Amino acid sequence: MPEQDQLFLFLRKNTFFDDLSDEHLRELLDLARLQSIPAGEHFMRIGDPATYLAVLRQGVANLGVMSEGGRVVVVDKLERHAVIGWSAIVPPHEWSYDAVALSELDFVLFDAVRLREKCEREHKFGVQMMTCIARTITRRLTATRMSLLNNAL
Amino acid sequence: MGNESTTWRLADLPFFAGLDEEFIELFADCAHTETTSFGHYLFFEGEPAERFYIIRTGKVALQTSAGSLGFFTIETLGDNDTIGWSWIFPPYKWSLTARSLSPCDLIVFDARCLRAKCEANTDFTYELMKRTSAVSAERLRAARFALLNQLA
Repeated sequence: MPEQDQLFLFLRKNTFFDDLSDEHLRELLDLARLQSIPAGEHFMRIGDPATYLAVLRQGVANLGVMSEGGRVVVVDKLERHAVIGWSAIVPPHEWSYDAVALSELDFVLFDAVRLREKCEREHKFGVQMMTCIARTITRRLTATRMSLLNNAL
Repeated sequence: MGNESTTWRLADLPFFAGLDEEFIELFADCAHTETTSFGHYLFFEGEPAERFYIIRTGKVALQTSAGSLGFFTIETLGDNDTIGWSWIFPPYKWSLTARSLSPCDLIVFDARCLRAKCEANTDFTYELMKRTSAVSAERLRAARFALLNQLA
C-alpha cells in the first residue's frame, strides 16, 4: 500500500493501540487492507462469524441491536478512529452487535484468521494485542455498568 | 496449593479448559481455597486489587455504591464464574465491591504471584490474557443486553 507511513501514523495516534509497540504496530500493518462500505449497508450481524478487526477512517455508523422490525437499538455511534471487531480476536469469534453504515465508510481492516494466527504464533505480539482489547472491553464495561446504574436510580 | 489433586481440580474448571498442564501448575502455585459465609465482603470498590477468584460453589454479588441510596447490584455470579481482572492493569484497584449471597467455596489466586509468573513467561501471560478477555467480553455482552432490556 502506498500510504503505509500515513496509515502507521493514523493507527499510532489511536489510543486503542497504545499497548502495541511501534514494531508490533508495523507488523499489524502488514496484515492491513483498505475497504469501503456503501451507505445503508448492514455490515455486521449478531452471531455471524467475526471476520475482521477494523478501524474507521471515514464515515459514520450505528452499532447496536437490530429489533425484529428492522430498527436498530443504538448502543454506540461509530466515527473516525472507532475500532470495531474485538470479537475477531476474543472467543467465541462471533459479532456481538449489528452495525449499519449511515454514510459511506472507509476502513483499515485486519483479517481475523490471519490476526489470530499471528497472536497464537507470536505470543509477545499476542499479549500486546490482547492488552489493547482487554483495556477497551474494561472501559466499555465500566461505562455500560454506570449507564445501568443511572437508569435504575 | 500446588499438589496433584489441586492441579486436577483446576483443570476441571471451565476457565482452564484446554490449558497445558504446565500452565495450570503455574496457576496452582498462586492459589489457595477459602470458604466464606453469607454476607461476607470479598473486596471493596477502590481498594488495591491483589486477588483473583473463581467461585467453585456459591453466589456472589458485584455491587457499586450509589451514595446515600446504598449498594446497587450490577451482576450476580455463581458456580465456576471468575471474579476480578482489576489486578491485571494499573492502577490495580477494584472497580466494584463483591459480597457473598450464600456460603461460598472459592479458589483465590494471589495477584502478585500471578504477575511475577507473567513477567517470567510470555506464553503464560498470553493464555491468561486470552481467557480473561473472553470472560470480560462475556460480561460486557451481558451488561449491554441488560441495558437494552432496561431501555426496551
